[in-house]
Amino acid sequence: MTAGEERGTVGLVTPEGVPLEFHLADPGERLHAFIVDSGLIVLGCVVSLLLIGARADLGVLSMLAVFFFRQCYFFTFELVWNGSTPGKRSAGIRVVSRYGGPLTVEALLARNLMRDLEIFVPLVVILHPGLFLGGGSPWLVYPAFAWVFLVAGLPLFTRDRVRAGDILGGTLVVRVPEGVLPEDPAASSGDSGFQFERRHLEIYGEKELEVLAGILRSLKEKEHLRRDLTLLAGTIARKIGYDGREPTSNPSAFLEAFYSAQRKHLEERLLFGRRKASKEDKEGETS
Amino acid sequence: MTGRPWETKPWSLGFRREREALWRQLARIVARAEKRRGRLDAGEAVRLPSLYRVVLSSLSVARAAAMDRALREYLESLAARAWLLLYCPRRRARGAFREFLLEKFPAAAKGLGFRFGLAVFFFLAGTALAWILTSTSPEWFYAFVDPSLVKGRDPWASREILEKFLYEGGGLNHALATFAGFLFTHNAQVGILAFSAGIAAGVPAAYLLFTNGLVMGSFLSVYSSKGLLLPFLGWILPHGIPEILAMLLCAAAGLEIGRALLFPGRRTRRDSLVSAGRRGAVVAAGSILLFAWAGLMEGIFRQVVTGDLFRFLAAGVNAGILALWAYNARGKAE
Repeated sequence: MTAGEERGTVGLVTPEGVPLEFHLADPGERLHAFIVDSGLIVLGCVVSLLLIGARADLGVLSMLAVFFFRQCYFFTFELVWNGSTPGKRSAGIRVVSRYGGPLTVEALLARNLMRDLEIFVPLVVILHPGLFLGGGSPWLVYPAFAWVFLVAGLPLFTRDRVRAGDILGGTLVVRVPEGVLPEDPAASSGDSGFQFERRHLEIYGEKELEVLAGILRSLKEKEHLRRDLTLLAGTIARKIGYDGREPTSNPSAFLEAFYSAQRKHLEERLLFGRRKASKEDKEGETS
Repeated sequence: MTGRPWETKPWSLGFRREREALWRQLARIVARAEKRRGRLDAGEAVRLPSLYRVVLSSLSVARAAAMDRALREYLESLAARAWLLLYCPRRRARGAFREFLLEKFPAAAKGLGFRFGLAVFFFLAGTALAWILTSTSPEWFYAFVDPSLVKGRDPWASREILEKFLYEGGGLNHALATFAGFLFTHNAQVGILAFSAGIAAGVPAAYLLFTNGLVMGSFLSVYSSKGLLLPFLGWILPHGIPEILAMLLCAAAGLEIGRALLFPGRRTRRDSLVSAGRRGAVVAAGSILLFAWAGLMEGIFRQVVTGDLFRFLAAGVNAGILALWAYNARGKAE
């Protein structure tokens, strides 16, 4: 595993050796998933108790059913659905192995056998403190009390938002990635008559290029931006010292042509190993 | 920089145009499979790996050379979704249980090594301490045994009461199944907690073993002082063999987690915890099976069969099965 570039992301290395970045599920999403799943567990318990419980001679079945739902629900779903449960599915998150490979039975057992300690024990402590506090001498009970809540609160303190089960299982809970490929703004620029020279393209860097790409992509949805484009085109033209055809005559064509030329230029520089991160980046400047 | 329009296009635009059809093909397969929770038809299963590698290689190229963040992010998420789909183990259900029982579980249990010895030590230390103290002075009994467990079997009880407790059985009835079910689920929960509470540096596991040892030692003292040691062993061993073994295994798995937390050795603490957790989880899950077996022995067999001879026979059979199981798994340690 490599560290994520920013907080809230995590880099996993695929078996092919390519690092992929995932967004970690945030506590709200995990809570959502957990509430849905616990609702289903309670429902399952209630239904099986109603079906069986009426008959005293079948009491053992209801006991086993409750045990099964409590201990096996998460494990079984995560095993069969490869890291997903109905609750996780509805929250758009899933379990992955920290080491990039497939989820193993061992990892899923470890992460789910810890649940009892993380959820039921704190719940008992909260709802019925006497059961816990009355059970031993204070020098043993108070550290245990603190420890229980430390363990239960792990997802809030740890960098990768892992709970104790994730630590022992070597797993992470990530958001299921969903990507859409937007139109390439460089594709739409035709021969608009705007020509750029090298000196025009030495000013801006990658950061400005991405901002411009964002603006050009959002143009299609936001008509009201058009008025600001004239201003933007004028500013850029001034900054790069553009002296060709009047940019404000057709600002969007100017911006598209500039974007295309700027990207081509930066990519060519990159082929020679010269990266320009932003306009402030003077490193590797060529005359 | 004059010339034909195509010359003003960035290189990455052509890169995208040449490969976009393949990317979209993979995106379609992935989207369809996600809807069906990972199932692929034959054609998709054939194309998925090669398309996945196309996208991974496109991603690597785009990262190195394309100045288009949207493109890189798209490829990254597509590769990630395909990865989630591809590295989803196709498990065969048949044979998995057998493999778990005969290979994984014993191998994991053997991997516990001296932690198992430590667990035995804590348990025996509690047993010996309580046996000695209660034998020298019966007042100690109630320091070790919770009153709810006693049911009249304290050091001041008569031999008849103690003996009656060993041989009372109601014959076969429905309540026995419920009793067995209760014993199984209760013991299994305790076993799972003994494993998972290992995250508190293994202290709860050691505490559980020691206090259970105290209870065991106290009753051993009570029964042996009245000359009922053998009947008591006949009463406890048939279920005690699998149950105490399962408890020792679960607690040893908890101690192993504590060891990984406190003394990770050469590995990082995180890696050390993962290997202890995964191994311990297999042991704890396997122990659930032992608890189920013990529940049947305690809840049904013990209540129905009241002859000492048959009880010792059953204890011997149980010990024999476990010995065969361990012998069968020799050389399979990790």
